[in-house]
Amino acid sequence: MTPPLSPERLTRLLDDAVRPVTARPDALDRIRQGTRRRRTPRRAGVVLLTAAVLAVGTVTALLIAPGGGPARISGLGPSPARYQASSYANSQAQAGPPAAGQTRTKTLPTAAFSAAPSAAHPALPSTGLSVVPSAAQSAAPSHGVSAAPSAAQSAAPSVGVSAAPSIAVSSATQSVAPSAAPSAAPSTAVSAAPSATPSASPSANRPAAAGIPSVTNSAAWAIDGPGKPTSTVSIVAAGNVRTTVHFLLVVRTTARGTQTVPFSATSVTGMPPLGPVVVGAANAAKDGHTELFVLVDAGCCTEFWTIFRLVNGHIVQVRLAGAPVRLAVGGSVTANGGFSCSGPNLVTYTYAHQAASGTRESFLATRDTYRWVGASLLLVSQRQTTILGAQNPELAQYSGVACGALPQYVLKR
Amino acid sequence: MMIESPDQPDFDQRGLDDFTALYVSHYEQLLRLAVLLVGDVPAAEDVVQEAFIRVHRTVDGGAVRSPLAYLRQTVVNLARSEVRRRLVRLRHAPRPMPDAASAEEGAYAAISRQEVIRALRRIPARQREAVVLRFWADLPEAEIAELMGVSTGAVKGYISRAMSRLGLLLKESS
Repeated sequence: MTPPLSPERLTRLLDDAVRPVTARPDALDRIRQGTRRRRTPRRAGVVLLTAAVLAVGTVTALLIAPGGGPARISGLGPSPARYQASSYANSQAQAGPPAAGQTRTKTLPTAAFSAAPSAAHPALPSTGLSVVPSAAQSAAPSHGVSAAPSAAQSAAPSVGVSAAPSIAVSSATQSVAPSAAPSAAPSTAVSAAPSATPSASPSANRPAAAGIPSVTNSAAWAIDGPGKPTSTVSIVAAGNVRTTVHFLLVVRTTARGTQTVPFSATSVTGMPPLGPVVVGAANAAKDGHTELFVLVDAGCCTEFWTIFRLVNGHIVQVRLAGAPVRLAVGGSVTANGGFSCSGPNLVTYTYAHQAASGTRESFLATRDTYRWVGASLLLVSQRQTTILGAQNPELAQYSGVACGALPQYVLKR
Repeated sequence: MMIESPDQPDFDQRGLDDFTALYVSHYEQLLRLAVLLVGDVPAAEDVVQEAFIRVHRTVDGGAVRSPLAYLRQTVVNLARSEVRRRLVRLRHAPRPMPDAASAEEGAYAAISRQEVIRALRRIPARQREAVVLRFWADLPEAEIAELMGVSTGAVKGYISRAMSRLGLLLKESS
């Protein structure tokens, strides 16, 4: 006689069996693409059905028109079409006019879901980024622009959006720089946003939303240009909100619907208290498009930012040497970094302590110039120089951020 | 195990559309549910993706009162269809040629090799659904009955028979 399996043991076995199962980073994209693909045939079906109804109605009207139809077909003898028209007319006559309160309108099925937010979407959130430097952060990583090691990232655009006119954003409206004071973060971009009250939001009936995941932060991004409704940008954890390194950049625009871009970043646990953070937006490439900067990693002193931009109507993560870009920002007394976008190119600066040269400290300073090419940054030139002396003012030229309204740091200060 | 995930921290969800919030909240747990029901990850991903696509249009329109329940029911139904289709395929498919498996397939195979997953595959679909929904998804029997379209007594019967059979199968494998 076999003893029955205890419920506790079965629960444990089931839990252990599926614990390794996690969501693919591109799962949401695939779902959205599937939804879009299905919507297209449905719309075509509606159009065909409408056309068929109109055609039948037109033919019927011709056949039963007073003095028209019967006279024209009188010489043709009884034809199926004539009988059909006649019986249709009879049935209409028998049915009589619709009773009060009734209509005979046939409701055609329509695509009920649209990814594009309506004017009633929720009021824009403040960035709400608290600036809490963490003691748990690790030592500063190496400096300079580097490609992210993760292969899980994909710059492929997610939700397909038809090629739309490129965004034109004035730098005055695109500031989403987070600061210690949330009220200072979204500037004019927020005021341009739809100002529907939260009660108008469809999220009012969202099930089981409270207490569950996972927007680590959100901000406004004037993707559609000045004077137009602003997009909201959110970062969502794809998986366990505390441990996952897979995140989704969800951009809701009024003109282009919702686009989702998967990317990798250090987890919330590895980068307390927030995980990845939307730093801000700036017209870095000086081409009228606005680039979005997101903090994806941070050590004790250095932050790493990645960039998202609009390319051919799709929001993509900018890549460098085939991998997602990581810009080093900040540092310590032995190494530092930053970047500027004062010209058409992106210029990164780093310096690192080499060795003492006699009585003076020696630093290797590097200035890399990158050109924006679609979703990539191409290295145009590299210049290296040695700077002597820890107090040398030249070192200051190789650190800091000079790009629109972007802040110097996110987590520091 | 907990589909509701009540212990997750309360993060700000403003700025998310309802569908994305639904995905973030429940996708992974529903994927695990589907893995238990169909026995492998790729098929489970297809099932859950299909369920989300079906529920996509209804969320914002408010046509579904409880999208999670709708999703769960869709996942269970699609998983049942997937298992049925698989049986038909197995019946008619030619013997596959040996082929080198990728690393990803290896990871998936590791899940399929779990004793409990193999044991679940060997019990009837109804019993599998009942036992997974009861002991993994932690649903009450009444809710399982509603989801499966049977009576509570039938659910109890399924669970009882499944427990006996699973006990036997797991003892055999160990």
